[in-house]
Amino acid sequence: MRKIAGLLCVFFCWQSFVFAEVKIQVLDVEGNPVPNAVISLTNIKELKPELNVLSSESETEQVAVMDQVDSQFSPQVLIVKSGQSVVFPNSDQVRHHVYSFSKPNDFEIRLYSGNQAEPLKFENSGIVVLGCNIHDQMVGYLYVQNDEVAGISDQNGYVVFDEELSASVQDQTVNVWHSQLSSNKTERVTQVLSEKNKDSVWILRLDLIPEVKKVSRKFKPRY
Amino acid sequence: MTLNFRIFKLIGGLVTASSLAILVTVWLTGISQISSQVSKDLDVGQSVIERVFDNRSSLLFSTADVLTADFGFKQAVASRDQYTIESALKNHGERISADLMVLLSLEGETLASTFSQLAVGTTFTDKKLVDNAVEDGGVISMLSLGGKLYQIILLIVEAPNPLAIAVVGFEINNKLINDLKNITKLHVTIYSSSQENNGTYISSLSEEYVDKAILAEVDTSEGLNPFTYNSEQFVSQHFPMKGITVAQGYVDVILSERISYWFSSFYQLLIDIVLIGILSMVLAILLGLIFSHNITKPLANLVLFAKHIASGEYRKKEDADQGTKTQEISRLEEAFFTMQEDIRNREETIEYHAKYDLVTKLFNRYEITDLIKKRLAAKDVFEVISFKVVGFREVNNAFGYDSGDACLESLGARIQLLDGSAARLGGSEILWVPVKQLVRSDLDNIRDELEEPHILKGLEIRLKLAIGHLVLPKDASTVEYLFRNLSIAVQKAEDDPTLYQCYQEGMEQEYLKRLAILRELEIALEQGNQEGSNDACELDMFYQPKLHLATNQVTKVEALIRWNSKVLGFVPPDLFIPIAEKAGLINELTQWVITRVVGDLARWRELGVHICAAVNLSVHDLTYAPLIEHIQTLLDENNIGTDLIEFEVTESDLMNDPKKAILQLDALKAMGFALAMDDFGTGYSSMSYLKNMPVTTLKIDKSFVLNLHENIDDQTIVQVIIDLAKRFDLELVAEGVENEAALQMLKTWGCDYIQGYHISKPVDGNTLLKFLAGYKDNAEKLFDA
Repeated sequence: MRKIAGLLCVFFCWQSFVFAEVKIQVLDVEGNPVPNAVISLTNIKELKPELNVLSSESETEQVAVMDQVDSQFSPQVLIVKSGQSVVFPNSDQVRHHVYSFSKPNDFEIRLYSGNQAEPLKFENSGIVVLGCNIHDQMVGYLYVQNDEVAGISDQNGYVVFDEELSASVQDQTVNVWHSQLSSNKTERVTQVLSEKNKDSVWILRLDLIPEVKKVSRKFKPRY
Repeated sequence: MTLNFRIFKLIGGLVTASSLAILVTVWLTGISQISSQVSKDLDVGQSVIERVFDNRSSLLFSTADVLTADFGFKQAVASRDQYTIESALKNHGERISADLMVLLSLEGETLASTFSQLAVGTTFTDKKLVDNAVEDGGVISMLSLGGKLYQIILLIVEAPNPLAIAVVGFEINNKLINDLKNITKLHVTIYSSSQENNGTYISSLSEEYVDKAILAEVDTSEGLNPFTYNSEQFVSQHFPMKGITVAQGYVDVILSERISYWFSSFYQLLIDIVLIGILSMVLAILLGLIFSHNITKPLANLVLFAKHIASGEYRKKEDADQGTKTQEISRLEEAFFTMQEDIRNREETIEYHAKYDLVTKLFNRYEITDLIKKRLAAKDVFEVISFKVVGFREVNNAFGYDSGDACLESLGARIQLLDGSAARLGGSEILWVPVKQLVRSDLDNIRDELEEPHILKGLEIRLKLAIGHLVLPKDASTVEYLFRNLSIAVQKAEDDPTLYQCYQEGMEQEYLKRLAILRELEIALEQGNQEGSNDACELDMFYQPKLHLATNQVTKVEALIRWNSKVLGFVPPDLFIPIAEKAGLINELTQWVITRVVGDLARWRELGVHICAAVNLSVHDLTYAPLIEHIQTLLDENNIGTDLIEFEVTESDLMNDPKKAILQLDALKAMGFALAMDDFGTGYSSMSYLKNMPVTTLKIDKSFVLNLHENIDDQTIVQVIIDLAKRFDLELVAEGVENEAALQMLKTWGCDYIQGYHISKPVDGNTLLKFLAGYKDNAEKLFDA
């Protein structure tokens, strides 16, 4: 019944908003596409309480996968719902020691390989910064969402929302997270969509801070 | 300026100039060298220090990085429990010997600290530094806390996102500074200035100099001026510390060194150079002194030497200084010796010339004069002998003047051997002052020795010497009288057959008279030679007739000169003719005589009297070539034939040098003159010469005729002569016929002419004309009687 209603709803929406699909391109200040930015619509419930389709039970019960390939988290950014379980399979030959100090979702999976690690359930929304104790270059993010619609920008910086969400987009306020938006990498910012390009794609410009790379042993002198 | 001083100036000047040049060069080079050295040292020091701090920064990073990467540390930080974090900081800080361990929030709030000055809850002093650390993952800086300097690193703690900032600091302590000082050999000061602190430093310099170093007035780029050099001054180089970030204020590294550090050796070098210069100068002066001494000493010697020469003092070569001499000096000295030698030789020559006669090597007149003067002054009684070569002119004529001189030389040599002093007075007269008293026989012996033939170049020359003899001071009290009286004596001796004359009183008067005669004769001749002055002339011609016995006619006369001097009265020819001969006036006299005779003959011819006149010729006339020419001219002018002139020459004159006489007479004979040999019988005629003598007449000397009528011997001689004349086909004239008896005898014996008082004494021209006129009338009577 609810499925049908949902389908109907989708149908109506489709009927009323032909081509109402919302497309946002995330760019930095220089106009380069920014991948792995999470754009979320936080007030979706207030606007359309009936459209809480994304937090369906079934989706919450699905176990999300944060793989580790070539000593990198894959994907680098993974959106999960609060209460959703995430499994950290190790696809590398080496062991990993995956941890996070992002309270309250902090955890630690000591050296393991393959699928030895049990899935972990993340109850609290927020950004969970993932690291590997023995591979400093491994940094991953879990975006634990709660009552919001969120999307990750692809390699070209595009985030596409369904047409039925377009209304919330219409108010032009979005939450944006990107690892380079704050020094502790966990801050989210609220931005207002105000710009569209000729293809009716919303342009979201982010003022990113440079990624800190402690590869060089010297710091450039300042002043 | 003396040579010494010149050499000293040259050497001293050279050394001074070169020393100064070296000094200046070293000075300039040294200063520029030092400047660049200082600059270089400081630059090297800067590089070293920069490198050291670079390395420290790396080390700091490494240690801090290890710390922040530590999982346990991350966990502790993530715990957010201050004490846990502090204990972790302390623990990890000890691991890396950090002096300061602080944990800051990303906003700069102190979360935990092991350092009391950075209390928990306070905000980190430099917020910008925190921001830098957050942006860059870390930053290295300098922190001044509590008067101490810390090199700090702010490094974010990533888990894996930045959780906090760990601050790790190391104090910049004296050990580091000293290490830096040891490495760079420069004083190192690290000076930090920021808003919070008013200059914090740490320095290897002692307190009193730090400010000077920090505020160093001298910068190497300005160059170092040694004149304003001050030992308290520093040369410093300021440069900001690289590789560290200071948001407010600055951190400087100051490398400094006191100027004296660099200049001490430089000044030592300068002092050394000055010392070397002074030493060289002293050495140069010494060498110069030796050198100039070596030059000037011989020169001074030469000067002395020259002075000695000037004063006529001749030193021996060996007396000269035998020190080291340059070649030039030696040559000069050699030249001086040569000069001395030449001067000495010349002086000796001059002296010799002044004293000696060059031909005879005897003293000269002046020298002997001095000697005699001395002896006269000493009132000595001594003799003076004069030797005179008789007829020396003939020697010269016959053998040449060289031979004449050689004769005198030879004679001089012989006289030199005699005891006493000898001198040549001039011509062929040599004066001798014997040591011993001499008697006549001694002198004769000496003369014999001196007259021994002189062999010269194979020629054997015999000299006849006339001797004049004076005893001083009896015969002459002064040198002037001596020479005059000696001359008188010698002249007298020459005329004397014995060729000896001792000076006697009255000779001087005689001599004076001769002088007067000569003088007056000259005057008379001068008057006589003036035309048309026959009447005024003191000289006159007298004529003595010659009677031709065969015809009893006077056809010839002998012209005889008479001189009636207004001053001297009558002067007989016997007296003045020899004087004229000696004085060389005879030619002139003869010329006058001939002129006069020819004039008379011409006059007489006008009166119808044709008579032949005989003129006496001196032997000197025969050698006088212009005479013949003169005679010829006169005869031509007056149109007188040679038959009217006869010439008479005495036998003794002819026989003195018969060969020469013959030559001369031949010339006259060739002209057509009749020639008579006068005074025949007294002149020791050589028969062989007589044979060849171109005479036409012999005149028997009146000494044989005067007493003819009484003296048997004379008669014999006359007869023999007459016989001889006839045999030689010579005309014969007898002189001195004074009585009839002699006339008759001569007539009997066949004498051609007679002449004498019996006929007529010599008379003047007018008287002769009267006589001739009267005689013609009385001729018969005469013969008849």
